[in-house]
Amino acid sequence: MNLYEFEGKRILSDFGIPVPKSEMIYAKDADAPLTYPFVLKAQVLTGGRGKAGGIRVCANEAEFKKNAAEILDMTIKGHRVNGLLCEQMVKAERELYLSITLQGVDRPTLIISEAGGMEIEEVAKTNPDKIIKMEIDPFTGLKDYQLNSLAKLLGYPDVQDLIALIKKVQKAFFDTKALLVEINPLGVVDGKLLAMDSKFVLDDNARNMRNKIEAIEEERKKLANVLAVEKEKTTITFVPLGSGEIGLISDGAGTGMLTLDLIYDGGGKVASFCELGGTTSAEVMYRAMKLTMESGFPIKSILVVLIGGFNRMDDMANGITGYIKDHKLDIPIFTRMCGTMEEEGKRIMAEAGLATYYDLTETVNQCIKASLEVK
Amino acid sequence: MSILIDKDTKVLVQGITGKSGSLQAKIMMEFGTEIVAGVTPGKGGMAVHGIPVYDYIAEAKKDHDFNTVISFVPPAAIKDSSFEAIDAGIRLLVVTTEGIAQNDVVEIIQYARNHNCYVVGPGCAGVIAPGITKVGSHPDRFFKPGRVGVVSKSGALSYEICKTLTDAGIGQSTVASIGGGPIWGFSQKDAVELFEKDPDTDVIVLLGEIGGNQEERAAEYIAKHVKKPVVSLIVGRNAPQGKSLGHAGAIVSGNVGTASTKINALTNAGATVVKNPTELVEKVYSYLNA
Repeated sequence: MNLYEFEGKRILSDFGIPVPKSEMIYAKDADAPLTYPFVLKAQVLTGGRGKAGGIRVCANEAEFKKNAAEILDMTIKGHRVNGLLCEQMVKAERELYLSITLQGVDRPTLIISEAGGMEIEEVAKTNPDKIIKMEIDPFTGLKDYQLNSLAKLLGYPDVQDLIALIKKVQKAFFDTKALLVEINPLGVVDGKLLAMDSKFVLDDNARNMRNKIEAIEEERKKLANVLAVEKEKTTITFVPLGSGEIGLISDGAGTGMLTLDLIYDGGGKVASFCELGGTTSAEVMYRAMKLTMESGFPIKSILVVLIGGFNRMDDMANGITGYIKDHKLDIPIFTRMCGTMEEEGKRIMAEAGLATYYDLTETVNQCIKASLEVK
Repeated sequence: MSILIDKDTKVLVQGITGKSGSLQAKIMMEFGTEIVAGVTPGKGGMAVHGIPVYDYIAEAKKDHDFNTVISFVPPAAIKDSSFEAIDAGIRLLVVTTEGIAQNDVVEIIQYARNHNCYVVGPGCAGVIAPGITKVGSHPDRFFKPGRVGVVSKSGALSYEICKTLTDAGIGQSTVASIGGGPIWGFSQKDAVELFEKDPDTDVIVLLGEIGGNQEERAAEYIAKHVKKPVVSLIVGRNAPQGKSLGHAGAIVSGNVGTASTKINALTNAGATVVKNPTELVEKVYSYLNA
């Protein structure tokens, strides 16, 4: 779960990390919550707000009213602005970068740089020697020698302040089982470190954070433009791809991707990709059929690729035939079925008058042919 | 021989009284896996398919010898139960569980490394040495004994490719299905390293997919250390940017983890990269008969 800046800063603050004084504004007619001058910051789950004009200084009431109204109407990189963070103006003497991440790495990794305030990917390209990375042992955390060497490498004068802050960020990261805690810029204001921005990614699988995540979701209802996204409650991954004729369902991510490649290599196109997830039931298969058929794409055929390990083919067959019994199906369905409980699965399919296949390449080719013919 | 598992593999099943643990224990036993005990806290004293169940691994250890654990424990308890398994001094832990918090995965893997234990997974189908033993959920009819070593992130893709190989009369030495990521214990590089040293493997098949840099790391190793032929299939060439297709690790963001990066890295390392199962079988066949 990606957090808005204001949500992330609250967590940082809970862990004793200094953040500027701030209040949230949800509506255009709100009163100024702080004394001038302050900064209005668009709350969106994407970067590049500053360049898009989503961060503005307000010196008086007239500027505040105008800026608040304009920013609340903005869309930044496809994201509608969701409320404003009104933050006390601070002047940073220096801007650093600090993050702890578990994204794209095998171990929690601390990244720190004297070149804060710009995208770290940009610094990595132009000034790679200005980035310091250090892996963190999950059982010990950063050791004292690591922290001391970091402070030396960075050449930051107030070593104690820096180390204390890194320890707090580390505690925030591990206690919340986060995937990313990023503070960029980490400002130096009146000689002290201050988190001027926040990017926080929580792990949806972290059980100790369930209540926190629910509380955040509840509070988000106050935001003007949050779309109520209906969460898929099953293990299914459904990805609309658009502009294709084939609805693809598979009981494995790897075989699903292989089939996707085989379809494109064979001249077909896929409207939607649906993967059932781990050990699944007839109900999950039924749901996959429903999602695929009701995707809104004009699909011409369905391709179901099943190879049962944990999954049972009788359950899968019951899911498919159950859906067809309830909804009828006016397009051809091609089902490759083999593995655990294969014979029983085939029998259930045959009783419903549905063919099954054994060879994947042949099934794919038949399905492509049908999807092109029905036009 | 084989990698990770062999005729001396003795298995304890964690979470043996659950639906999946019980079913897979039965299927593994029918295949010929030597399962000596099961563990589910609170269920000690009962038996599942004749396998004695204990509350704690230490209790099972008093009565039985085992060197391998396969775990079907739910995500909430997986970290502690994995520590318990590793503390028993085993050499291989197979974690089938999906949906584990990533910081927990990191701890499990680090703890295993500190204790010289391999963790295959999490979220994996496990390992099979056809004709010898299996510690996983591979449907054995798609496999047969032979001299091809297979490593795959996806379980289902390993079944699919081995089915095609087996149908063509080509058997496998060991098939390791290591999970969909984004963090892995036993890696593709680890598998390639063991297959290179395994006297009973002649050809290595590496089944990769978009996302992460496992394939690139395996490619680095292949370039430096591998003399055996490596045939590789990378799936997800046509996957959209920025969307995960079922495996949490199978996601392309920017230039990282694309199919073409992986294909180039493997090709440059001397591996033969194929586009589909049919080509894969042709290449493997020609290397076996070269």
